[in-house]
Amino acid sequence: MKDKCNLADRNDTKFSTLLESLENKSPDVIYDAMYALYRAFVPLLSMGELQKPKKIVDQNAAVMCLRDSYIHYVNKLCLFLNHEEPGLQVPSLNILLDLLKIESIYLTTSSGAYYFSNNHFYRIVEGLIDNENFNEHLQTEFIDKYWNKYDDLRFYFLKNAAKIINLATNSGKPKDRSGPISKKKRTNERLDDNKLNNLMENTFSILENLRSMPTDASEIKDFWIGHPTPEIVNKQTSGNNEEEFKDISDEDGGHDMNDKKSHTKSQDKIPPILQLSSHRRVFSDCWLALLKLPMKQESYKKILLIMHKKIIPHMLQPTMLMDYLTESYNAGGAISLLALNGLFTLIHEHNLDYPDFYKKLYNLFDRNLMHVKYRSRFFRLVDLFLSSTHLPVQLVASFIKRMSRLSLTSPPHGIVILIPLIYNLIRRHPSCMVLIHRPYEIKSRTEDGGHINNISEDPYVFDEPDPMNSNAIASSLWELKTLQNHYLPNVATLAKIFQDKFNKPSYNLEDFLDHTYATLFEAETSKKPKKTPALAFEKPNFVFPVCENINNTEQIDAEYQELRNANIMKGWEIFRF
Amino acid sequence: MAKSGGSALKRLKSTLKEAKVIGHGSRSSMSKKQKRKGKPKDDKNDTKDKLEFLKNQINPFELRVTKTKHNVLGRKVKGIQGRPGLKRQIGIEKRKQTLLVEMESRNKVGGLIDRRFGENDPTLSLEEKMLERFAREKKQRHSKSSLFNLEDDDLTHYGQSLTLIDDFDEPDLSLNEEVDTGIIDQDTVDKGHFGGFEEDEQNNDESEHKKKSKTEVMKEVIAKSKMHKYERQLVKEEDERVCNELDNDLDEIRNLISLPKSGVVPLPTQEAAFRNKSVSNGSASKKDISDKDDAYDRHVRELALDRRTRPTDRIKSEEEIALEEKEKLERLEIARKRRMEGLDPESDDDSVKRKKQKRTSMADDPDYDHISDDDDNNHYNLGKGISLRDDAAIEQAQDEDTSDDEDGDEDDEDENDDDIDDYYSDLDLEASDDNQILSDDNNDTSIPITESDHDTIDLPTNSKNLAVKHGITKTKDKCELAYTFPCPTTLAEFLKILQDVEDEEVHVVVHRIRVLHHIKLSVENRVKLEKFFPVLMDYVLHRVQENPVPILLINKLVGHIFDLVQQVPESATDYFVSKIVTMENNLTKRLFSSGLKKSKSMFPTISEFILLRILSQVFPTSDFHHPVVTPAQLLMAQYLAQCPLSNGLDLVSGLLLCNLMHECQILSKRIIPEALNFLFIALVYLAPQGTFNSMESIPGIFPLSSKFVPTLQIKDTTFVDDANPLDFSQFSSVMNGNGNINVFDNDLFRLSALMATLHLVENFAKMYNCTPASSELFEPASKIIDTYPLDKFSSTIKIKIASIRETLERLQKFSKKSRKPLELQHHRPIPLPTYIPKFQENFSIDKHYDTDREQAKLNKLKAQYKKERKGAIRELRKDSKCIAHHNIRKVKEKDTLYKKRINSIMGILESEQGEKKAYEKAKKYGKI
Repeated sequence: MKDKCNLADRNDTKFSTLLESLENKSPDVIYDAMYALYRAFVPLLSMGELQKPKKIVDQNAAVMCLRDSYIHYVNKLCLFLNHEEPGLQVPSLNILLDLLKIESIYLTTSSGAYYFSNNHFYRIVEGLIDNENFNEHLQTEFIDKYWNKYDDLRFYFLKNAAKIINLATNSGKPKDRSGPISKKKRTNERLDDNKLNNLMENTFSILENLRSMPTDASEIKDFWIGHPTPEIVNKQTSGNNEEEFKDISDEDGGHDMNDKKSHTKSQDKIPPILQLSSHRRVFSDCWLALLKLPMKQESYKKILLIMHKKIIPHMLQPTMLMDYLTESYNAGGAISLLALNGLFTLIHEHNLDYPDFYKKLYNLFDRNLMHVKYRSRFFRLVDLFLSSTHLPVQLVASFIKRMSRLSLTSPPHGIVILIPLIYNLIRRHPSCMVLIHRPYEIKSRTEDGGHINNISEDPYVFDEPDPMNSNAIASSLWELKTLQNHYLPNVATLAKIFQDKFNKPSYNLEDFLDHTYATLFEAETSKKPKKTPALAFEKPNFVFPVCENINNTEQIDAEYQELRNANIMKGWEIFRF
Repeated sequence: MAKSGGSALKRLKSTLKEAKVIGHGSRSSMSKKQKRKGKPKDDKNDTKDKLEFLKNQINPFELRVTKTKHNVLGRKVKGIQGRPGLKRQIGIEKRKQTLLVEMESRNKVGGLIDRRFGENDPTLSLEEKMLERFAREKKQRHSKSSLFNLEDDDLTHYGQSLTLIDDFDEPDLSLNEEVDTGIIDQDTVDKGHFGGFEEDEQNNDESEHKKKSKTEVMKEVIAKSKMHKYERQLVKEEDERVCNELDNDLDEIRNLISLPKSGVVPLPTQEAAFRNKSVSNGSASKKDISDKDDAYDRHVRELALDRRTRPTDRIKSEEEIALEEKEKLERLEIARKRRMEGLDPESDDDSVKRKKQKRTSMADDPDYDHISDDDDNNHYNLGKGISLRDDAAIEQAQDEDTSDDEDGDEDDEDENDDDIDDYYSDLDLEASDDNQILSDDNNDTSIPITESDHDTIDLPTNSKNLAVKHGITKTKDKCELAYTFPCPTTLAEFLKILQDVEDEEVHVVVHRIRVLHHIKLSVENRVKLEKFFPVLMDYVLHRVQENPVPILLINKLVGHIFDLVQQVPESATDYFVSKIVTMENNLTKRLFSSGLKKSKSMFPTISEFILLRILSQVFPTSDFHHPVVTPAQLLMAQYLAQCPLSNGLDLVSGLLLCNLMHECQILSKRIIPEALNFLFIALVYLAPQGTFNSMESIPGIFPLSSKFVPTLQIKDTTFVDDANPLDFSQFSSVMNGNGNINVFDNDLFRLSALMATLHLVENFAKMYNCTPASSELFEPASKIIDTYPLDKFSSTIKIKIASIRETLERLQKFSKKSRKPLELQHHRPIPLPTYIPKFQENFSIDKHYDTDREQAKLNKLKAQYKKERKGAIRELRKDSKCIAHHNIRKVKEKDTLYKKRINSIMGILESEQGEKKAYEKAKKYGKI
């Protein structure tokens, strides 16, 4: 022990110089110093020299000094995670995690039980997520090399991140625990906001890339620090230390003589890191903590986009997301559309009861629906929701009528989604056929006057929020008839399907969802015309009607008047050329 | 048949009796006296005739009758009666003449072929054969008569008819053969032997002109020949004179032939000849006369070999021309209408088409899509969709843009220059090298003035450079315009040509280029014009970037562009399509990059506007589907739907596009939701301040982003009396980067824009009046106008707005009144399949009532085949039977012959043997 202390003494001065050089401006110097210190500390650490002494007796000035410099070093490395230079961030991350490994292995072997040096890791996590310069290099390094590979790192990261975020939110506004909608209120503390924002962005960017979340307990088998299963620990330790083996078996309270029994016992007491449920718990905690943070529109959308595929399946209790999703669903606009997917998963797989679901769905069909980016995603779901044949006719008719109304202002790629959808709905609900075919006899019978040949006013009420009261079933789909004369020939032909016999099988909506102006344009221009295109036969006299005399303004006016009267200006009256 | 009873023998007897061949009245029964007394002539022949006649009468034994089981009245069935014996006989006869002959000549090579007429034709009787042969012989002789007919024609000798010469007057032919001694007398020798004729001639001459001496005769001959010579000379001189005259008049004749307006195009050889002539005239040097003559001869030969000129159409009268024009226009209009409905313009018969369509749909399986797909990938003609267009591409685009940003402006400039090169290389492969140099020069000297971050479709190229050049040219003196120009293949060349040309005369230059390189003049001209068209278009697009836009110039050029498109439609289509594809790519790129930086207006530039406008004038915009117009419309709609409306400039651009689209749809009246959306959004944005407080209160269902544009809100307009039309020159100058955008930031402009928007809305409302959902389409507009605080406007404006509003409401009311609930499903009900047999009125068993035509046809063919096959088998059987018969007969003949011979031999032998035996017996008994 004393030798070691001497050694420490000797090295003390060198450590201090090296530590000083960490303050250097030049990244190169810092880099070298960093590795030098790493090499110096590794043997010490693996021997357990730098541990917090358990007994006061062992206190030694030199050891304390070494320990201080070690702590200083680690702190410095954590700060470097926040450095602008990725060349420093990445090595410091590597060093930190190596140190973590060495330390934890030492502690495991020394204590005999599985030990993860979480204090150390907590600081790393903090350094990572509370980071202003969290760039791609660091992110990919961390995610690809460590986080997605090792189950223990992921586990503790989620745990720590949840803790950090909760601390941050509570310190910022301890009482405010509402979801993302309340973000507008948080305007006071800029700095805090900044921090929360960093936390949010960084954590999300890491969580977003989660690929190795286990779905079965047997999948948990990769560890950064040795495997925590007692048997394995036993095997490892049995070679080295007999006593520890005993200790552990004592701790387990099992009888080492009976292997089977100890096995069953150990199964009862599997360490949390090996349990799937605990993994899921930390995952849920972390996400729930994250969702409480204020977030930008884009991240919000991104979260909702991955919600049903990446988050809900791994949640311990997916219903915990209900509040969040409901709130998002009510938010309106694109967010609602995106929340629908997650909500649907909850309803479908987790038995969530959602009252007035169809009413809300109906109200999502607003003026901007056909123009937003996520419409195809939305309509995939709508197709699913409306595929039931047990829906009331009034409801279906309302949906159909609303869609056809929206098609009047839609871009062509929107109309192309709506028409097959309406066709499928009418096919599925033949009682909606009156929307496109209302013969005279039926009319006169129902409208007991017989005089109402023409409906002067559309009976459908667009602004009525309840689809059951919109009176759509009494209306007709004039909009579709109008669209039969759409400027794009494909759309016009598609709209003509309502005039044909209804004997086609339902359209596969997938064929129509992913179109944009660009794809439609490409389809139009990529076709090679089979014959020479038709040409106009009226020779134009002008590009724009313009009077020839430029000198005299009055003359121009007179001439303009003349042009107007002579109908030459027809079509271009609003301009003056 | 006289009697049906009795045996055959009895019947025969009775028949013969009746015919008086036997029995009473017959010749044999007559006494010799009677015979001698009466009718000596009808004896043997008479009986023979009678017998022949009886023979020909139908023998009931030969008649075979098939008994019909159910006799139907009025029905004729073939083959109930037949004479098999006769038929067999005929068949055998026929075979004897064909098959057996063939068999006999089998394995035999050579021999005589009887080519006499009708020798191998069994149908002809001998008499007929002879007659025909005689006729032919006659005919042959007759046809020969013209050529070597010695009998009919007069033969001549020394011009004298031979018939006139009495052969028998010849001294050498003495008729007294009796006294022929075998010695030729002196006379004969003198006259007939060698040289005898000469003496004879002399004798003749002497006998005619006995007084003329030899010298006299010779003199006469000489004088005669001299006179002939003189005459020939005279003729020659006369010919030469005429020739010269003709040569001198050749120009005039040429003028006569090559009338420029008559539509008669001189043949190329003629033209060459004329050209040659004129050249030689012009030079006036006669150094190579022989050469010239040779050339002339050559041309004459060529002319002789030339194809003949055909009579041209006669010149039509004015009425006829007008009528033709009218008919042509009507025909084009009909074709246009058909295209508008999406039908094939060529096929006149509408019903045929429909029938065809119906048939295909019937033939297909139930999941037949009514849009016939070209390939399976292309669902419903909509293209592949975004799924195949990788997100990667989008990302890439984004990446590109970000990198652009990082790189900074310098790179942008370079990129721009690269784009120029690309552009040129696209345009014209041949001239790419020149352009390289040209644009390289630019790199050093010019600063690109157009926006540098995108490759615009117009030519940002050397525009400044060129503009400078142009400026110089304007200052130059006005000089006479040249009459011939080369056909430019690049824009640079064209600009070089136009260097000294005033704007007013550009169209003249273009006209001359087009005339000089008219497509009919030469085959290469098509290629030249195909290159010239893009140049002209590029020139126009280049010029419109100037300030002010030379609209007058373009107005004059558009007619030429139109005509050029008519001449080279394919390449023009390619040009326009490639232009709009570039425009679309630029727009998409800009839309993706818009999130990253606040870029300039995304609406099309002036040159893009002009391109779209010319495009819509050159191609028919009313077609249901058109390879150029449809994508162009889609592009315009995309501009309207996706470009953010952020200032007055954007608004004017949008209104211009709306106006353009409106103009395109005047005939076909198709729905353009994007244009209406844009106009309504404009109405909302232009609303006077305080009209709309929140987004929720805005009527209609057109898309709306969540914020207003403050620069567009009308602030205070009470002081503005009247709105002007929007000023295009102002707009273009701002678009071309020479104006201040602030001209669009005042209330006068906003008011003008508002009025323009309302006017366009009104126009659209009028256009879409017939469509059933027109009230739904325009309800938002009238509601928005309703919410306008009219007090804020001056009275004149107020009246105008109110009138437009009234129009809109009236139109809506009409459309609501006239519309009825939809009845789209009036189809004939599909009948249920029935199992009741179908009864045919006036059924006839002979007719075929198979409803399935194909099946009936097939059955018929099968029956025919069966029949033919049976017949063939029967024939073959008969053939083989005949052959066997023949063979047996031959063998029998041979056998009998053999037997006969053997018998005779045996007879001889026997008799010999008998004789021998008798001799021996006699010998034995000792007689001898």
